[in-house]
Amino acid sequence: MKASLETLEQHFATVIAANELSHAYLFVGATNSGKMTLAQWIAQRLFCTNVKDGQPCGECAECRRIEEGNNPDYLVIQRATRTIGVDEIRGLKQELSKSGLEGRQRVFVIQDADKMTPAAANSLLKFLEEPASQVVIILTTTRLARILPTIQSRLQIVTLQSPTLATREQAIQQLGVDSTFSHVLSTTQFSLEDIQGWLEQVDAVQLQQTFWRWLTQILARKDSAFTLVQTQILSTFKEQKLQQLLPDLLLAALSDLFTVKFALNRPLNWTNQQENLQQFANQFSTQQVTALLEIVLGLRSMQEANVSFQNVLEYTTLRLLVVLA
Amino acid sequence: MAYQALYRVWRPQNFQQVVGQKIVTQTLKNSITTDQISHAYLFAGPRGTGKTSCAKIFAKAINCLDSQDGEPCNHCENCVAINENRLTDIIEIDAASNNGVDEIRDIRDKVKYPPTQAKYKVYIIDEVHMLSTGAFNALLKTLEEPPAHVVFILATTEIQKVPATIISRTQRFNFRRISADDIAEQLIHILTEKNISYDDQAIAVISRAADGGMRDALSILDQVLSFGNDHVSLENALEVTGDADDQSLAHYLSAIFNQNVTEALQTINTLFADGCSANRLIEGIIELLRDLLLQKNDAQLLTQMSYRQLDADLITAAAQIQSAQLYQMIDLTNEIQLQLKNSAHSELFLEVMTVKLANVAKTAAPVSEGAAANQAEVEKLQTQVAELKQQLSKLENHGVAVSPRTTMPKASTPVHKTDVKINRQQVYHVLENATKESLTAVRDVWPDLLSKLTPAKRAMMKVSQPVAASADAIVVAFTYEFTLRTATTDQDLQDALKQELNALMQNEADIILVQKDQWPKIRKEYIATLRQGKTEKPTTQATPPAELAQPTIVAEATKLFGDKIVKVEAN
Repeated sequence: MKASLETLEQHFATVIAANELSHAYLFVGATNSGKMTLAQWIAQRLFCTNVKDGQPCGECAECRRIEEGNNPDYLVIQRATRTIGVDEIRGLKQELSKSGLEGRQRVFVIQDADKMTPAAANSLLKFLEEPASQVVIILTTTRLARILPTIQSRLQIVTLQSPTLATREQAIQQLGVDSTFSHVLSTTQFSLEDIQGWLEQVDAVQLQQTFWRWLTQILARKDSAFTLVQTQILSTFKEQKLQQLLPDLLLAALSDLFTVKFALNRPLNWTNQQENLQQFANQFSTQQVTALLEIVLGLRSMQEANVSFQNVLEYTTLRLLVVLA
Repeated sequence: MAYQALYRVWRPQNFQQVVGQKIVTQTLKNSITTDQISHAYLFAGPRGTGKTSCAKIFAKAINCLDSQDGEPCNHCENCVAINENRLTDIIEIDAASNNGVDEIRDIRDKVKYPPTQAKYKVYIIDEVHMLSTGAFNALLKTLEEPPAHVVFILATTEIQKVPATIISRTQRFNFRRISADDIAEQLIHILTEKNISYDDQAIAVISRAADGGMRDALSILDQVLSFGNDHVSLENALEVTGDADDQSLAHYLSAIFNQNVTEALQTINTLFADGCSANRLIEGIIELLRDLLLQKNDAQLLTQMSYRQLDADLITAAAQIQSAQLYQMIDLTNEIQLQLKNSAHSELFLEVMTVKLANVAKTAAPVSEGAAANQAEVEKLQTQVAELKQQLSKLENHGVAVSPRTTMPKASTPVHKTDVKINRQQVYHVLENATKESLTAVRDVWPDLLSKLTPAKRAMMKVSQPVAASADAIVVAFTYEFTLRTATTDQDLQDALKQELNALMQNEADIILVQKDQWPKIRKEYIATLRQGKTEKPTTQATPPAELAQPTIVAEATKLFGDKIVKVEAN
């Protein structure tokens, strides 16, 4: 099931009205697609004292407490760390076996459930299947494939559509980024705070220039692109967050190249580079364009395997050059 | 009463209700009736196949006061207590959260106390693969020789994580994936009980998406039900599972087989926008490819093994694809499926896959033609090349003043008034230097070339195909004479073609246009010209010259009326 946030709220409104709310859900969707909003909506719908037309009022004490995170029966597990360990899940399970403090119903949310270690995920299995008390457990994730199949089979999976990026784009523009770059940034997973964080350290214009200088050299089959990695890219993309941004920028650019090459009917990410890309697209065969995109798609997993940033870039530059040679 | 998920409501309560595990349940029942209950069992198998359910039923059956044929009665005091989870002698342990040595020690200590109410004390250790090594080893001795009143049932989805020493101390039961048919049957049973109508196809979609897990199937069914007003419709089922409908998939694959990459890309983007999940899409594609493979090898088998009807258009499109290519495509799709797991950019992966699949469909196409061409033709060509070489050296020796080639073709040119004038000199020149490699290279870039033209031009060039190529020119054949004529007069088109071709091939090749029907004739004439250039030599070639001289119009007439009616008279 894949739908927008509004449709899903409507859907859950009917489900709750019919008293058919299941005990466990998995919300899948890109960052900012509203997974947590939906979870919170469900909690408010369940606890709100003043439900109108199947919608929570958002004003009563219950609704407000949920919004502020003050309701003991609405518990969110949210970790900034890379993993959610078995201890945290144990804590949750103790809570799970208790009945509601105030009402009868309780709502638990595990944010980014893909962060759970195998041990943690496994220890959740039995509880997901037959929770002791009257609870709703909601897991959220960006990548369904990272969730154990045994967990998936115990949940109802709800996929949220990617959000419309217009508002996000505007918000980024207000941080002082030009329109093209804010459009590209809006498609990435980074939060507004992250973006603001970089802007304090680097100039967005310079960032783009360096990136495109490098990419243009690669696409122009110039070996000097390799040295650019050491001389310019590494010094510009110093921050760890920025280093995570680079693959996204590259992917956006090469998927644009792909779009142009196959004349697909969809907007470009780098709108200001259309002519530039068109030129390159004419020079390359379809196979080359596809191979380029494929290489860049593998970049993220290399970074996740803790390959150093410089190595990733050098390796990628060389591979891209080999494809074009 | 809060809503309970279907898989909880419909958890089987006796062996008979367990779906698709006949062998396991029968064996367990027999062991109870013959009083051969072992002290330790290991239930292994994929998710949702009934391990925990069977463990619970078994615990009930051996403690049931009124057991019939090894089945629990579900009415006696013990059965009811177990069903309500309040019999203290049935101890269900979640090994995933109690995975340390301490918890196992606790079991070991308590094992020696006899059961309070039931006959046996049953330890159901679920998710046993999560026990630590220390815990496993602590369990070994207890597992080997527990007191007579104790039965251990271990259940796991990941048998490979269980040490061999544990496995060897238990009776192992393998739970198989439940077949789609069995799942469908159970779904229909539940829906009939609940008095809910359904589409047959929707049931097929759900049971396929469940991938052998009954719980998955029921989870999906639950969701479909919460979606659509007491009727299980195909639409809702597709929406919940994220499957693509068969037609779109067939359309997608047809486009790939016809090497229409743009079309295929558009199809996949539409599907994606409509909410299909990338993973289900890929699985659908793999299944369809498998079906095509079956269809190619044994159409009978297909009807037995697949529930879906293959689209007629798809079968036509697949006719040009060989089994080897299908294998290659399945491999490729599989690979992408693995990569997909580690990426958030599934859409781009699918696009890359599309281009690669089209490439597989393309690359082998000329090869298949080559394989189809008979050996004789290859030999003929080889002799031709040898002859050509000889002729070239002769020309070099005697000069080119009276080249027979300039006069002879005219003599043998058939009278055909509507013929567009073809520059035979150019064509012959190309044929002289033509190589298979350049032709393959040109055919490779041909779709790319077409995609760059304006739609109007592309439409015109759709009916054309490169038929011969040398390093400095290519010959393009048109199916219809009309288009050929338009193309020859359209200088704009020719310029565009040449420019694009040169950009793609990175050379300075010219383009010569001919008509497809005439192409074999031109080739024959060329061969004839070659031969006439050296008439002294005896030729062993097949085609008699008389037939060559016969104009196409005559040949066509003979074909229409038969050679008894047609008389050729020279006037």
